[in-house]
Amino acid sequence: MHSTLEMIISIFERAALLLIILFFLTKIKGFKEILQKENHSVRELSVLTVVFCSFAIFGTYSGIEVEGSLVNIRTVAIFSGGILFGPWVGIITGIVSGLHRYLIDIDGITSLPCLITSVTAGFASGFINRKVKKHRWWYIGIGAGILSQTLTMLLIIALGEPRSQGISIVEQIAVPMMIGEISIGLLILLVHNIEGEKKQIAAAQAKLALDIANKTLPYFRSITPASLQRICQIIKEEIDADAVAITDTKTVVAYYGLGAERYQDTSSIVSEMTKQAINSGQIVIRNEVDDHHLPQMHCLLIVPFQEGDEVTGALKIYYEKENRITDSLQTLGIGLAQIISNLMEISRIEQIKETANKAELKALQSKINPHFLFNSLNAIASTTRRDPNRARELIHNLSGYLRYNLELHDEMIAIEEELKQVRDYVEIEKSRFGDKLQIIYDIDPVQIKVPSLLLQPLVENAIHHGVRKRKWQGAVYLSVKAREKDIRISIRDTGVGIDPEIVEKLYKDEASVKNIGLANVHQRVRLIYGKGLTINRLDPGTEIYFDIPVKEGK
Amino acid sequence: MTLRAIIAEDELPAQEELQYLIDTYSSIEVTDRFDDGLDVLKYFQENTTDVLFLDINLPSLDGMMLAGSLAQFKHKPIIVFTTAYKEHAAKAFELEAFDYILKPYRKHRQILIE
Repeated sequence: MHSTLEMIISIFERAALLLIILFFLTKIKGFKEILQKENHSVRELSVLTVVFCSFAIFGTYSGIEVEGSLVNIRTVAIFSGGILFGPWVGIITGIVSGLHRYLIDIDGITSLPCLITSVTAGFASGFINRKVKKHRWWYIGIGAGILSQTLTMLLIIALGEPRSQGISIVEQIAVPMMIGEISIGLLILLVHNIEGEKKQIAAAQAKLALDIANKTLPYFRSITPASLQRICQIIKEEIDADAVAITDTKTVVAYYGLGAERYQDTSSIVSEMTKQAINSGQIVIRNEVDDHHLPQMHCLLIVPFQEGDEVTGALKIYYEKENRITDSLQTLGIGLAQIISNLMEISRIEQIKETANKAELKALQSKINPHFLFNSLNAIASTTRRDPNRARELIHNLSGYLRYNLELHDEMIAIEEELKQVRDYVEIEKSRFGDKLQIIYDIDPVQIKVPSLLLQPLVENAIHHGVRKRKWQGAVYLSVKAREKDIRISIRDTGVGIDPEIVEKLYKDEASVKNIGLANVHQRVRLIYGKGLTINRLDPGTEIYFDIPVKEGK
Repeated sequence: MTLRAIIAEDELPAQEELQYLIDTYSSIEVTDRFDDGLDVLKYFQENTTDVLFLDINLPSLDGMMLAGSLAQFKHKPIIVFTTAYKEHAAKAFELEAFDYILKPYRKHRQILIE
């Protein structure tokens, strides 16, 4: 004769045993993956069915006998199997374990009720699996278990012969059996935890991939072997690999980590394995390599990356130790390869654009106006007779001007260099227009760099579209003024005044070819200093200025 | 009979250079020099001359427009465009220019006029 408390404890002991077995099963890699999956193959379902049938039959055998009945945890196994893995597992487990219970003791007083409730439990568990939301499984499972035990008890009373014995049995076993059903909840939660663990790993990996993307982003701006190597270094450190490499379709373009000395020469040919990955577009995983040309590496993952449909290279991850390429690393590798190929593609497009812009700009900036050149030479020819010394100076001015235009220079140049070119230019123009043209400089001694070939077009504009259009004398004022927070460069003339339509179009970036010089200056100033030219119509004339911000402490 | 000419050019050294070449290598007599297109048009309203050396870039009224206006005149001068760059030359011929000369000036062009 067992007390109720003893029976409750024993039933939990058995349930605990199931939990322990299940827990150990989760430590088996293959089985854990089955538990973590959402959809299962027939084979996997068969494995699960066998496991839960064993649990249920174990439940029957480990039952505590009470007047010919068994206090057991069979339905715990049926319910948890069915709820967790669906009707097939639940129903088969229910039928098999129910029949088993019936057949081992056909004449037993509770055998038939047990068969009926086992099969019912199988169907009920499948129903819960299909119709109830996952997060509610555990307590719905407990409830359903208790209900099924209630059904068992009613059946024992209804079918048990003699009835008095049935009632006696129910009195003793009802409470422990029902309380024992709590274990269904525990089993379900255990498996849910394993699934949660998988989600956490996935989340951690997504975060890692994002971190790597963030850290490597700056190096994709301009792709060079050095920047690619830095990218490899970041990946290596983040994923704790022994080496990381990036290849194009033929050569290893960057390598960082163990064995790097072999790749000092940047034109190393890719390995056969990489070729295979690039040619097939498929990932290559080798967990036990002993034939690689890096003898210390025993484990490698090669993920080819694509731009459009074309494989353009591969990301390679190396480990010294064997069996380091796990499923999660593989997923991460694919993600990283995708990020790398996307960023490389974007960077390439940007670079092409930039180069095109630069070339276009350069051509535009340094284009020498043929009118200016031939008119200058004509003026010099004339001056030669009147004043050979002046002519000589003018030739120097013209040479200086041409040299500045023709020689390639950096985008930014010291302002005195730029002003020297303006002076050369102005001297020549003065020789052409004589007294008609006056240039007044008001230059503060500032030490700054300015975009090259910026001032001369503005002065040219002031002379030819301002002063020259008027019959009488005109002046151009060029000033560089150091102000509190910036330096203002202004070009003012007393000419005809700019057409407001031109200004409007310029501000809208719709300038016509005729005003392309001015538009080009406007765009460059805006690009470099954030704000373009400010153009004011004066009476008479035009004022054009822009401000160069000066950094604190300079 | 000596041909008479005027020069329309807004650059003083260019005016002088052209006058020098005309004086030195031809028998054309330069009677006036102008640096503004409108002044040239006014001149032709009251006077006439044989040859007009016409720069294309002129204040007030540019060379092309001036030549177009002069085409309506009864006594048209022979127009010789003076330009630094050939791109204007084709258009100049549409306006029945007699010739054009490129800057910097060279003497052989002037000989053609004689």
